[in-house]
Amino acid sequence: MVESFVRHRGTVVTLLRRDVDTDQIIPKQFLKGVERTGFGPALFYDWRYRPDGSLDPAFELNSPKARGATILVTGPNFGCGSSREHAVWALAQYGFRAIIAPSFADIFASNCYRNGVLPVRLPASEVDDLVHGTEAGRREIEVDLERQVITNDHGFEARFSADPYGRELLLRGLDEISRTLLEEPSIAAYERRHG
Amino acid sequence: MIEYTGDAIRALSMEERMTVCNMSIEAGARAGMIAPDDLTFAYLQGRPRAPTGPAWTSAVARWRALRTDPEARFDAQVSLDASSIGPQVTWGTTPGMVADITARVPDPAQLGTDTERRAAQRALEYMGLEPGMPLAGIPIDRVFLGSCTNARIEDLRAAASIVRGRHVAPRVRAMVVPGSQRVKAQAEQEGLDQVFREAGFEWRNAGCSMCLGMNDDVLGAGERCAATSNRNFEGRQGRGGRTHLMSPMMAAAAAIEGHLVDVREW
Repeated sequence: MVESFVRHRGTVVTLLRRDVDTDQIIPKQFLKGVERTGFGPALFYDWRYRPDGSLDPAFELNSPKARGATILVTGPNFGCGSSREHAVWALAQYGFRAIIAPSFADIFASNCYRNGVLPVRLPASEVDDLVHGTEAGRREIEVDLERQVITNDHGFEARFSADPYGRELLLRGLDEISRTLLEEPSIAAYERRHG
Repeated sequence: MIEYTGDAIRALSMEERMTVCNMSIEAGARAGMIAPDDLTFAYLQGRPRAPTGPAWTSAVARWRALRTDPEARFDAQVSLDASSIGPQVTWGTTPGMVADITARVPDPAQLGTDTERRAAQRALEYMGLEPGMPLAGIPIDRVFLGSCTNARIEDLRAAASIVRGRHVAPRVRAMVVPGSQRVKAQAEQEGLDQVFREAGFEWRNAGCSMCLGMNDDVLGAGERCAATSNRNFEGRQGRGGRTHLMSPMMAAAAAIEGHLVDVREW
């Protein structure tokens, strides 16, 4: 089971880069574990930490304003490159619940839906509005997956369209196995017919 | 999903088609495909786990139907004139930051949007390149001829044809990592391992090696590598490592010259 996502209110951090690839999101040296835990501290490792291991204050997520952010607003083609699912685990374990970008790499987006993270695709102009709002201190937004709309308390409103299957998984807190098991009666009936 | 069609695609061998399809992921697709044809069936026939006898005949009949319907509609269609495309070399930190070997490093200031300018600026800083530098001539420290994308038997044959009787440039460390154990065995049977060894390449076991750098095969910070793998992201081949993606023949020629070079001029 994964944490369901119906409606989420949280603060935004912006990472204004395009083509952020999964090697940046979670570098390969962290992929050797056999558990699905402990990836949060390694998120954006080479950007977040300097070679001596100290935090790089210039990196967006290390800004004091980014503390506690649960919504990442970023550039086009987010999640490109290697299809490692660990990338989503790292984002989720760091605390992100939603990622908003003009576009996503397709495999990454479907990994998000299956791991409790909502990828929201918005037109670049609306992403820009969110970025400007954040820069002006309006950091808190609400992402409503049920109504497929993003709002803030200052009149911002952007509609989005989630993948229907992915949306169902998130709304109900299902992973693909638990979703498939809901079809157990039909599966059993099929097996009886074709036994 | 990207489907590739056209004369140039039909003229490719199966292994070349696999490389094209494999790189679709780098374009953001989930998969790339090319409709099966006689070349495909010839490639499959007699392979391990391929059907045989009557099962083969009916399988081929079924596969022949696996074509896109003529009335199919695509979200977008892109036409490229293959004859106008020279050997491609990446100058940046995504596979899309790429140019003809005859071109120069682009000037970020000339790009269309703010995001692109920032991305290119950042990439050039990481790669240690200046706008306007000719790509041919950029000196390299390492050569990685490997990966599942670009180290099949045809790739190794093509690269061997370039390095035969020549030697890797001084100060360049070059390695060949076959794409699979099967490829390695085949290459050794054909004596390609000897060709590479005599030219000063390391002949390694099949595996991911420097494509991903999960073992000790990594670039040091600032080291520059001509690589036949599929990804050149920041840190992909080691933190601070600088990767230029190119074809096996181009990487082989770069190993000999010690810098990026247009293999067509050989």
